[in-house]
Amino acid sequence: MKNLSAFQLMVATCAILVIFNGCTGGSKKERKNEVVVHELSDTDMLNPVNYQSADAGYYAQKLFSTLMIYDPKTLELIPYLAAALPTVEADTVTKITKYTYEIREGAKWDNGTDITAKDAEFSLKVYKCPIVNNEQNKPYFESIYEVITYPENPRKFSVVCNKIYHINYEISGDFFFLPAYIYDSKGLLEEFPLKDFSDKYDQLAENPKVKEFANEFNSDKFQREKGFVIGSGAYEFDSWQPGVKLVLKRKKDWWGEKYKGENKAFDINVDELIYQTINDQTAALVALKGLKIDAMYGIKAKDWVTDVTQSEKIKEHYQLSTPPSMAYTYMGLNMRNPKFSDKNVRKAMAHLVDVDKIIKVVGYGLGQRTVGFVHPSKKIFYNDTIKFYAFDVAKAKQLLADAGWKDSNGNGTIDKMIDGQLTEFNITFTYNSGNDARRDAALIFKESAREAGINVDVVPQEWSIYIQNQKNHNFEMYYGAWISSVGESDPKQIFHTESINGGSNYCYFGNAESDAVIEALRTELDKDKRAAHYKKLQAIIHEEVPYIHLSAPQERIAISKRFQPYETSPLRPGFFEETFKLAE
Amino acid sequence: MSAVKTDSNQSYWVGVKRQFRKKKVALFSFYIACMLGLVALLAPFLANEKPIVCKYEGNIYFPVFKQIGVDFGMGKFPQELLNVKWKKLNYDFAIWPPVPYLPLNQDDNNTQSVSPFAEQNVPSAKWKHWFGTDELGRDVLSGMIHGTRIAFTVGIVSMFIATILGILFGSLAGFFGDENFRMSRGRMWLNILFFFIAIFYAYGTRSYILSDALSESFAGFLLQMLISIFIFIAVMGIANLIALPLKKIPYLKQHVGFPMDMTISRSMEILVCIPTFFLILLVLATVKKPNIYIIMVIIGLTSWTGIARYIRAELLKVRSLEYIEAAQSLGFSKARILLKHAIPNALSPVLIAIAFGIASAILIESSLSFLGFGSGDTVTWGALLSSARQSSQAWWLAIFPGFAIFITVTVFNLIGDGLTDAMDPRLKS
Amino acid sequence: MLTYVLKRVLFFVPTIFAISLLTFILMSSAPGDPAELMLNRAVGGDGGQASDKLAGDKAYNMLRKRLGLDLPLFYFSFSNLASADSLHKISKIDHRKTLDRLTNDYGNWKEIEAYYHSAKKLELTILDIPKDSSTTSALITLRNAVNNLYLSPNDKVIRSSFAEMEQQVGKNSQLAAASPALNATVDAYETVRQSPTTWKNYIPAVHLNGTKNQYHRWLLGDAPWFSASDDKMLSKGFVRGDFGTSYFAKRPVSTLVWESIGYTMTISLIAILITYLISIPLGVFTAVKKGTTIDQTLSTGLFVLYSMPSFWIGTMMIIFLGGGDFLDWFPPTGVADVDADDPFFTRLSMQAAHLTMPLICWTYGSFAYLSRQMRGGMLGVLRQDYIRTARSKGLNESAVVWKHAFRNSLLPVITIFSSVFPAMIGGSVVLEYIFTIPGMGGLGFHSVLRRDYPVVLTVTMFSTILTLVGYLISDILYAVVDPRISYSKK
Repeated sequence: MKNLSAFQLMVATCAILVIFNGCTGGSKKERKNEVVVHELSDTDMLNPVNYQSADAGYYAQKLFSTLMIYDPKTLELIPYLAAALPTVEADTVTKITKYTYEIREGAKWDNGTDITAKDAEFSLKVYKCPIVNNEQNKPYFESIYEVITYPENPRKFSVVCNKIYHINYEISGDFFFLPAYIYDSKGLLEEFPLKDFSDKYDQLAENPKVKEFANEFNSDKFQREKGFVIGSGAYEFDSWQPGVKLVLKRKKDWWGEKYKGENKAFDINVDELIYQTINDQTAALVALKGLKIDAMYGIKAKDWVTDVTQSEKIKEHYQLSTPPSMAYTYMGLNMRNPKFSDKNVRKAMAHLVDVDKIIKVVGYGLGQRTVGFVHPSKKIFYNDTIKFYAFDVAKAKQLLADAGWKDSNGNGTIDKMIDGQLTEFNITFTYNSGNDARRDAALIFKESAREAGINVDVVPQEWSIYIQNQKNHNFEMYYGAWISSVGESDPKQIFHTESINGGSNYCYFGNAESDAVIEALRTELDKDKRAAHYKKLQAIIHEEVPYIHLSAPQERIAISKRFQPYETSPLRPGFFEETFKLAE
Repeated sequence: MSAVKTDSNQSYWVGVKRQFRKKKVALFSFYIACMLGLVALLAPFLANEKPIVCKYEGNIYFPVFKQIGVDFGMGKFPQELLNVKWKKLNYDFAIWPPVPYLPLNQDDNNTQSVSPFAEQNVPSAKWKHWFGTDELGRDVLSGMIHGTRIAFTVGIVSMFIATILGILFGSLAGFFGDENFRMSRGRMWLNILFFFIAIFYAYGTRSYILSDALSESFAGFLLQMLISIFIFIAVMGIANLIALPLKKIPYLKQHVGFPMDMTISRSMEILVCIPTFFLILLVLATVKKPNIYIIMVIIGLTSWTGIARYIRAELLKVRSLEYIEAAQSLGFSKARILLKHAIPNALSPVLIAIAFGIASAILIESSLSFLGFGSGDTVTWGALLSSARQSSQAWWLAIFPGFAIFITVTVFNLIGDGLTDAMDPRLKS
Repeated sequence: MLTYVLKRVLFFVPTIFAISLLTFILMSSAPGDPAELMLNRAVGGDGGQASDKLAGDKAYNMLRKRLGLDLPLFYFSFSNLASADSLHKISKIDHRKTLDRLTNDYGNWKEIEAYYHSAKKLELTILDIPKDSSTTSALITLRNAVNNLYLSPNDKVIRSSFAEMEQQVGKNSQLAAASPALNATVDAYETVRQSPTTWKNYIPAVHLNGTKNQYHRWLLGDAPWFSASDDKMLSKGFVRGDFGTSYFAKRPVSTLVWESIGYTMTISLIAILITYLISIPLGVFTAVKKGTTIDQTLSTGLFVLYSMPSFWIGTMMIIFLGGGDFLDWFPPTGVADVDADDPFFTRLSMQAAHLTMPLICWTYGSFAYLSRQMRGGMLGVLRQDYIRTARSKGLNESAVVWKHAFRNSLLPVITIFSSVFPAMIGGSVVLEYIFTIPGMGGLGFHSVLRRDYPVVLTVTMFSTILTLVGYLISDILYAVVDPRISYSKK
């Protein structure tokens, strides 16, 4: 029969595939001095100013350099492109602050020219330039006003800010230096002083030269073309197969080599950094077990406990660690919702959340319960005198009853007359769809709330809508998380009343007292005095319960034993692959 | 190929039944489908946190029945049984359902996915989790039983909607074609004009009423929707009343064919081209509390074009057959011909499409759950399966729901396949 | 027939037009604001000082302008007499919602607009009041109350906000500066309440917007047609091959589509080939062996395959064959990271290994459907008279099946082939995700979630055109298969 031949063809095809596969399986390439890092998704671009995804920021740190970076171990700022930490001059009357830096001797661009104060000014111009696609971080540099250069020393300059603000210290050294000969080869921005980008922003937006520069700068080539993504970092961009992998190669004669050993910024050991995208966690774990990946972060807590730490193969080939991550999770309550406007009702909610169970069951024990927005590892700012709200259904019922919530109609759900209307205590609890851990935490709350006669609907919302509903205060209760900065955080964005309309104060938290504490904190340049303000703010937030604070999760990291033992860090993503040293 | 004789409609169905009975596999599948349907129907009695019968503090209660009553707004639980932990009560006696858990009940002693074969921390065999538990300590078997209900509802409701729409539009397009739907020119123009006006009054001016109702409750939305449909029909009725006097003008009186087939076919093309996923996301985003019923309706609203295309094609074929022409020449009205002759003939491919459609609706729901767009607090097979995907160690989370989806889908497919053979007149030996 | 085809192709134009317009409307009514999403820092944090409200608003407005979101949607809008002709100029999506609702409730847009502007003025006045220890807490109340005006069309809420503000302003003399603005706002609201023209809601009306609209910008572009323009902010429009720039990736959409379509096309074409190569012989085989145990086993087996969710099978294959704890047969991702300098056959074999598992998942489900169709078609043909004749002439069975019956029974299968076009470009979101294939399915899916409208529109347009072509082919084939179907007049 002829159809048999078709079957034969099929069998032959299969056979060929298997043989092909046999070839590749057999000839494993010899590993060079390279690190393969797993990424869940492809990054958006390599433009260090316009990027949005977090991993693009990590790559930029390898390709470009900033004045200061955080030391992964001490979490203190250390000088990188700057020769030393800046000197600060603050004028409390005019509110002008000056941060003076000197660039390291011998710091050079790839074409051999020195990096000077001019480059600092040019880079800041780009960050503040109209039409450049970095709307998301323009406000961050809002307070930087001008750069003062010193003719006697081309490497010395001062960043001038027109406000007193404790974070400015960090901001003044937190921008990537861009080589003007690449990014502005026509010198289009030269004639405009940095001041104009604050004072004459709208005029500049219409200027043809600025327009031309910005459109050029936004274009595809500065995002991903070899030869146009160039900085003063230790690595250069080599190749990018979108959605598959990105390769960075170590520069042959980098200026920083001579500073090697001085601090962590110059500790470069790896020749090639390869970022391999695998969208699916399960597939990524399989690749990890197949030794196709050298370093992986953000492993799911569930996989970590039930799979990774149990697998002999992984334990044999990988060093595992769980450094704390600078983030916290919480459940937000809408304080203007008639159900939650009473402080005691919010406290009752806090008593109904079995935080320890959530950490144990959903987070697999990989997290530390927190009282507030400060990470417990920042000992001097963390208020350890605050007592957690205990999981106590009886107490919650009592608080609710005191607040007038009783089951008057016997339907199983407590109710109260609000504005002449009988209101049943039904809550809609929202989380972003696809995040199963958040859903599970909500379901744990749902079960305990049911005992208190509260009916909770757990509703997933698509990310864009979830975000928008929070901004518009259009929610009752939601599960959220914030990533804090490694240094100090500015609570204004989340807890100041001015952030209710436009900022991130979604829960309507705040009163005159808390605002005053936040403002005092922001302008206090003495660390110890600032710590007292931080502690006070945590106490107020704990008492007012806009957030039911859950935990500060731990990062989950696996690093190949091909490298010497490596100490992971709370700095995201938890390790710095360029500093790995091959094991003997 | 010979057409089925019209006068032997009855005997045709008898024949189909006989043919179907002959197909052992299909028949067997049919029985399994009935059994699964029974499980879906009796889910609260098979798996529940409450006892079926119990004696508590001297009184005899039927909590499961009571709950059904309470759900329909009849009766209330006595104060001492409100929001209680049913398993912790001291009963004089109690008869429990075979699975004494609801899908959302969390067994704190058996969290983090306990295998059915592992030692479970339960007081006695009665409380054992026969299919294991999931991360939160929820009973998998209970989830499976209640999931059957959801899977069946998804399949049947969505296909019901799709079938109604598909048959309606498919047969209109196929039967009338581009020429056979004739009316006076005036009437046609009026109808087209009033179509937009009707949309304006039925939906445009009522858009806030409708969206308010949708975010409140689904039943309220249906009621408002019915009112809108009524307004729509009323406005169209007015158009046709106005058309009567227009007949006096000779130009407007002329009869022209309304391109029914073209209109419907083009509309179908437009619908097919809009990505279904986009539609689903959009609707889920618009409603305040997305739930499984809304997903069913969307699946139904987007999958009718397949059925419609099938019917249209069949009708294009049937339309030109001799007996329809014969019927027409005998003076039967168009509607009568449409109902009596054409649709039953085109029904066989549709029934097959429905059986396949039920299967694919279940698969779509599970894919949606997989991508995280299901409902937050409803346990469905798809939701269980997607949770299994994240913990490869917990095979029981994958095997049981996977097997359930597989059985259900296979059963409906095999029924569809059996119907294909049984109903295809060509294949009669 | 030719006229029919020409007619159909001509009809493509309005259909494509209708679909693009419908997609446009769907997108604009979808909740979620792309500008808002873009401004939301990817690493949400508390490090910034974005709460500087005016700066934030400025950035937002600039962005909306750059994206063209401040333009009206279409050349005209069909709504009612009451509805706002300048609503699109209000930048914040939530403010627009509130105002639209007010218009629906009261029907007097002019008065409502005046009310909105007086509320804005009130807000600015409040922001200008100097903050000191005595005003702080009152200012908080005032700010929240003004914000409520923007967010709620509810009469009760608005009135209670006014009451709150009046109470604060009356109490504290330092807030007196806000008093005139507050009174003006209250008056404006009262005017809205007192002169309702809700009847206007029931009169249909058409508003003209001119060519400065989003649709025009997307379809025809706003760059001049016959002279060169250096301004890169201007769009050339879809018809001139400018698909726009992705909001998220900030790259030309054409590049994005070009990058992902290659993967999708390759996999789809191979998958289709494999499916046909396996299903057609299977269909013929089961038709010839109709009713035997082999037929029944194969049919049941195929349905079993059809019923297994491919995302689950994919995962199982990765776990068991992907080189984790079990067998190391295939790599767990779908695209090989080949070096360009590797020899051709190394690259080919690597890619083949990577594609094996995805291809299996892509194909196994369609075996059942396709082979069923083939079987049905074959059975129909085998009963025809000419086959009986052929058999009676003593030709052997294999010759009868393959020489005479096969070609005729292929037609229904070819009909299905037409629906393959859109599937080819659409890809599969779930499978692409599991196997990390950067194809069209994922591109479309993520673009919808990110409200990346230019990408969504382009993907929709591509799949639309292919769907239409597929439908045309299938309709022509209907007529070819069965001469009784005719599309032309008798």
